[in-house]
Amino acid sequence: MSREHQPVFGDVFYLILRRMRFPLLLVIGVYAFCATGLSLIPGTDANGDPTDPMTLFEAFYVVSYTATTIGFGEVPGPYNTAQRLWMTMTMYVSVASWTYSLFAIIALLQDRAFQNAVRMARFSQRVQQLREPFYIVCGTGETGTLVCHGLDHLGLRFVAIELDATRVQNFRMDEFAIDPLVVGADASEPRILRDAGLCSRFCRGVVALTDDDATNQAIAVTVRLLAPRVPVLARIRNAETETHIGVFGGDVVINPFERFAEHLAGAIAAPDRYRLRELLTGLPGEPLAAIERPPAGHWVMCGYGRFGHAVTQELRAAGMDIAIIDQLHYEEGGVDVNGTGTNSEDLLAAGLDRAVGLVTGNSSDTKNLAIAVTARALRHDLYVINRQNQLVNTPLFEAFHQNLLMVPSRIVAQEFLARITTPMLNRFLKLIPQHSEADCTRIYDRLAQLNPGCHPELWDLGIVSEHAPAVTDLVVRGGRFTVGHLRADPFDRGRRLSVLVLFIRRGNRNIQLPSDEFVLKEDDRVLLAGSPEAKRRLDLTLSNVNHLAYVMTGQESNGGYLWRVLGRRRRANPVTPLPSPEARHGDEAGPDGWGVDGDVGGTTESLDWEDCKPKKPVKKKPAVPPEVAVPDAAVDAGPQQRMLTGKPSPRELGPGGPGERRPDDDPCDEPDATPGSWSGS
Amino acid sequence: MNLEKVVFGFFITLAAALNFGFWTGEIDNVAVHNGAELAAALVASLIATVLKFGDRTQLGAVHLATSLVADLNLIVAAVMWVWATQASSSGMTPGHMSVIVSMSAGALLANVVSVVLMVSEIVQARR
Repeated sequence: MSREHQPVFGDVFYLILRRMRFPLLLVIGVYAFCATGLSLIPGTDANGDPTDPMTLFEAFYVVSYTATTIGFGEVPGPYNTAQRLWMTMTMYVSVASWTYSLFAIIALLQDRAFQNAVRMARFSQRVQQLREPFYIVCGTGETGTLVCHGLDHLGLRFVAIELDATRVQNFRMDEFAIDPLVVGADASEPRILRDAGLCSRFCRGVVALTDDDATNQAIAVTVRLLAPRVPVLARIRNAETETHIGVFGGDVVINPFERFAEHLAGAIAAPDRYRLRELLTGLPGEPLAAIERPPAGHWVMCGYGRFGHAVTQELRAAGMDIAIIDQLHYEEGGVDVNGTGTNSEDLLAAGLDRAVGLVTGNSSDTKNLAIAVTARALRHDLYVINRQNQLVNTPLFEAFHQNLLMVPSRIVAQEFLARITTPMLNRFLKLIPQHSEADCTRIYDRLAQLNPGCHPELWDLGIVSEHAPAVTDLVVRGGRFTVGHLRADPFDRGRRLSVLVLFIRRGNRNIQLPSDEFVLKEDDRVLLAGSPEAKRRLDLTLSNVNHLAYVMTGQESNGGYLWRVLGRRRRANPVTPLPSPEARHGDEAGPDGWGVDGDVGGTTESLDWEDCKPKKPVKKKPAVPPEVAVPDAAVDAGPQQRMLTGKPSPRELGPGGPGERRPDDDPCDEPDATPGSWSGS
Repeated sequence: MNLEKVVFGFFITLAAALNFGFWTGEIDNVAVHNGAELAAALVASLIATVLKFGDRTQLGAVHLATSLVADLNLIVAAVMWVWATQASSSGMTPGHMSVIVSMSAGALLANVVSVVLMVSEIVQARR
């Protein structure tokens, strides 16, 4: 960072110095010349007798006030003719040199390059003063502004770069909770990205949403090379460009048309999976939108541009029958009806009378609405999907009750936001296609309960000391911290927070929906979903030693550091198993049924504790979680070792005795003891 | 031949030479130190300073620094001179002169560093 740091205000300073070199030299020269001349000319006293010339200092004094046109008169005494001649010359020369210097400075201040340098310097300085995680958003068109508002909504800082001066002005006018950092510059220049804080350790991601695919690509490449750890998301509209970047960085590149087409096909073929995906990528706290299931059958597609192509392809792949209406692309082939679709003849020719749905995919909003209105007049029960291009037309689309509205900028903004603020979500989304529809419904139902009626909060948690100091300390010292402990309410450990652990990343293994018995380890990365309240409470467990101790042992302790040290020396509280949640939470704490899973596409190693996987979730006794997650250690030790630990070790049993323990608590236990942990030693 | 280098070399050497001329002689002997030479040294030093404005190289920065040191010393010496000759009731005394000359000696050291830097730059360049 320090190596990359550039003294940007130094740039401005040097620019001034360099420009002022000649004017200053001129002023010095003129002063020296005039003062020297004056100090050489002999003076005359009141009687007309010659006197000594002025000293150099007196001459410098006289020249100084003459040059600045202050004019004190003739000091120390009246001058003789020779002195007045010289002074006349001095006046013109010195005043001219001053004025020249002044104009040089004014010209510099009005210089565009100079103003740019000053603006960049100020911007860069403000970025460097950011001491919290921030994101860089390149391009503040509709999508960029949506992303910025989303980040603002989530309470995250961002730095915006926009080339267009009017857009920069508009962006400044927008209402944000925190004054936005925005600069008018070309984001494809690496220097600009660096000034925007790309190399800062607080930079959490870059979003490239400029109008130009090539610029977005350049940004992606720059980020990949200069800051390989920073995730970058780029919007690419042209499908051919996309592959290049995708290959280059492996980052998420989103083509809004294809993305929606995929979603649409997904919504028809696998509606529950689509619903789950929508739930996960939605903005936390926003109300859940009811999603209708698009019907399968004959579809009419109006407009065969990029969007039309993508939708048609995906729908055909999903087994739909499609008729296409287009005028502009009729010559290119593949279009069934030559027309716009705004009149009923075209629509009927495309088979509207037997169609189940209609997609309007033109780049003109009024045209799309006209088609939709005409089609609805012919068929009231038609499933209509509209494409909305401009956010300003939202009231029109609200007035027309289409079944599904597709706003490319919203799709991209939503997806970018979800992925860049929770990088783990990206991995989880990739795993979704592995799940069956029934699984997706079950996950959806549980997620929807977390924050009823609203999209739940989703956040990443690393079991590292900076995010979860108390827990990491415990885990490093060998403590047994399970998902159940994570979900326990730090104020009443018998209850569970409305938090769901979706996914754990350990090394390059993915563990999906771990059971409450799953033991967390250092450096695990956890994807959590839950209500805002649960998130706050969970933070207590993670960072506050006393709350953690309560969750682990059930003993209240609220002393400070000294008390803890003394207490540890005297007698540590034994770990007690978490009591079962109360009846009303029983369903939440029930078995998940989903255990460990291999990586995406099975490319990475499969799990080596496969043999420990539960046979089947026990349906009859929901309070008994299956022994899904067995830590490596147990597996490494082999079956023999596992048999040894098959019985509850007396040390592990709390005051409540074995009766309180769930019967399957121990096979998952760490075989090696936990010295220095809460279990005490 | 680079005109800028010539001009800079000229002024840095001129400043050092004038300064040396002023400085030579007994430190408190009023007769051997010339005020005009001090003024000339100051002007030459100021010009050398401005010539280094905006030079972003490492050497340019050090040049600027040494020039500024020389300017500072010479300005103090010049102010002392004016004070001693025109404001002080006792006129120029050997005590005043020794202060002025020692200030100029400091400036001379800075000037010499400047010249050494310049020469070393030339030697390194080998062109």
